[in-house]
Amino acid sequence: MKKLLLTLAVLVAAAGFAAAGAEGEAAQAEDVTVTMYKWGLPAGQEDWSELEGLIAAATGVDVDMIQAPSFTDYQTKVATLLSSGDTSIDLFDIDEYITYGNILGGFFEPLNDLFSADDLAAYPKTYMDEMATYEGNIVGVPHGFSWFPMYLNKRQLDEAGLALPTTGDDYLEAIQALTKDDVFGFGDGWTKGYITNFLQYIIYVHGGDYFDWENAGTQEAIKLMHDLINTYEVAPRAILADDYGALAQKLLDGKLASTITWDWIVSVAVGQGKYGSELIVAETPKWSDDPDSDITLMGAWLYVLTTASERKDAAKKVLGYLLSEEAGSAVAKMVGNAVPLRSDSLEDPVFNDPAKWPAVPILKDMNARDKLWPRPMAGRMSDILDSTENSLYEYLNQNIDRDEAVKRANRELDRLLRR
Amino acid sequence: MCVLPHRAGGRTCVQHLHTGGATVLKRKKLLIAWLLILPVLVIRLATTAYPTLSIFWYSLRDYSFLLRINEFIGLGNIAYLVTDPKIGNAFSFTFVFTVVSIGLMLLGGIALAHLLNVQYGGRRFLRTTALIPWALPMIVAGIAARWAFNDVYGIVNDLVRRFATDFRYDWLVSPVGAQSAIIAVDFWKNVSFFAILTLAGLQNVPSELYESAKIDGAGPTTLLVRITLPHIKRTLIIVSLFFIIWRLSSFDIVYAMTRGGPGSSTSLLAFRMYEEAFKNLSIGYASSIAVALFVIMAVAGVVGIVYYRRVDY
Repeated sequence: MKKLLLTLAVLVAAAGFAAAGAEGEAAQAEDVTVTMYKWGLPAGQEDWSELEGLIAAATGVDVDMIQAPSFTDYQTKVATLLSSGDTSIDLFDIDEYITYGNILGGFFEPLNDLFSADDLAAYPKTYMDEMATYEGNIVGVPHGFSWFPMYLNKRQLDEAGLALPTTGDDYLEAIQALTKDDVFGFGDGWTKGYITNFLQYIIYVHGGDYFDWENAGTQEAIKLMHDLINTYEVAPRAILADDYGALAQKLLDGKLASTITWDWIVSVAVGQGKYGSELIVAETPKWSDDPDSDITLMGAWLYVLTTASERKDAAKKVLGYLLSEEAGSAVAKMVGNAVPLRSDSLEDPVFNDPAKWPAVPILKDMNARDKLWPRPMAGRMSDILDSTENSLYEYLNQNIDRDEAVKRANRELDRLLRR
Repeated sequence: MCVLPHRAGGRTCVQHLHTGGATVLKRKKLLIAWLLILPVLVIRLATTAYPTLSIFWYSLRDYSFLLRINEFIGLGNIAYLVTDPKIGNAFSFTFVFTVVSIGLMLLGGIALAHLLNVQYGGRRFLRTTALIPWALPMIVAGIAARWAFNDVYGIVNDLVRRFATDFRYDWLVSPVGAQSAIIAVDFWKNVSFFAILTLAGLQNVPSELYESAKIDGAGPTTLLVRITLPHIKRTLIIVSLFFIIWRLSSFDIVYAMTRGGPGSSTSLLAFRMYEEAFKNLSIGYASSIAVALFVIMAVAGVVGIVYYRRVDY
């Protein structure tokens, strides 16, 4: 009797599990949810439900956007998930450092079929070629436009009777003239991890190569950084310890007359009612006659699809929507101070409101002339940044001369790039 | 009759009860004891022993998430570690940070402990408020300290300028300034905790000793050197040992204040390990730094314990 009861119990349990399994499979076939690991939730916003709703309405695909708790270990988490072949995350929203760090591993699905000719034309060509494409395949959908304008204190500029500088020489003259009393003509955030942004910009405009410090243009660029502090004395020594928070504060307080850095300070100045009267931005100066070096930096984030994803078709539908003109505009509005990367999304009247987006006309003009270039990237970028910055600091602090800095930086670059 | 519930096969079990029975009981108790602590042991093995052994194993491998490499290279990481200038800088500053911090803690901690020990109005208030910096998370204190040492907006330069109006110093720009700032913040934040622990030792010194020494004409210095310090020596050794190990494994203060800069002048070994593991994703190399740090801590621990055992009081 006992045996009979036991057998019956096992059969009932097995039938139950089988039914539940079949139900689960059916549900999976009908209802696919694509997951995206994401960073950058705007202040005051609790989740990405608004964007999830837009995607679901446009594609019929449910998306679960998982907000990373902090950016500190974002790169590590993404790299670990990718290298372990994890299938729980289909899409990642990652910055250029993370993209390039993982692009070499072949973890990203080619997305060429998602982009029409019109789509490609709408994105900055330099960015698509240099950052979103690897070995002939588009591997990411870029979004969110960051760029490097020149900031000037208009009041101080007017008081000094100076015109807006348009060349490198003009700019150097202007920042020397603006340096007086407790005001420095030039400032920036050159603390560790930040200094490379300006370094890469100034190397670009001097026709140098960030990965080759023997290059004459690169050497000219680092010499200029050195001279801004030590020869012309137009930049405070504190520039080496300032981060972007300190930079913005000093700039808005009029303690620095100028800088060349990322565009986010524009929205801070607008928010504080200081844009226009105190702070203005303009196109970066032209440092030489070489048209190839008449450029400035741009940055963006990329949505990527993992090769390990088990929901590629649904995920591609999501990406197909995210790269659209409508999504480009909608996402930028949602984030608050971002501008869309697509030129047609940028035509949305919202981004042409001079009270909120005063720098957009300059951005559009520079973008139309292909003056915006992504930062140079390599596989071990964090390590490269760390090593080159160490050499640069020693030089800027006058502990070593330029030749020694170049030698040390190139030695580390040779090792890290395995040249 | 048999007391123990075992089968005696029809034979008397009296003999068994006196010899084998006791052994069986002991074994059973032992087995139950092992079964009871087994979950803890498993958790401990999984969360401590396994990661520790893994680190030793990874330190022998060229293991990089970014480069997709995972190869056995023996002592290759250690060989690179001893020639890596970044590690040289990190080792050097870790040594300076630990030695100077502990020296300052000993001086400041003993002084503050005395202040918290003597009788006066408001002592309880001081004992409570003294611990406020220690209770702050280091990451918060570090970010605040970054602004405190700012050349224009910082409270440190502002205070100095009240006495020397032309004073200008960019603390976080020069290596010496940045290192001094980090040591100062560490001291400000942790000296009160050092003092509270020392205070516990001070309160165990018999008051009769002070009274009889005073009758014999001993002054404050004699009391401190001949009575107080010898009696709290063991406390100081143990507290210092913990503080040394905490200093050796410090990471957050540098992360929040300087990110190891300028250059790598304020990079501590633990911070360097973080950079290699979580920024460069070089798990093998980071593990070799962890092993080196483990050895340094083990040596410090052994020296501390040996010294502790040699102290008479």
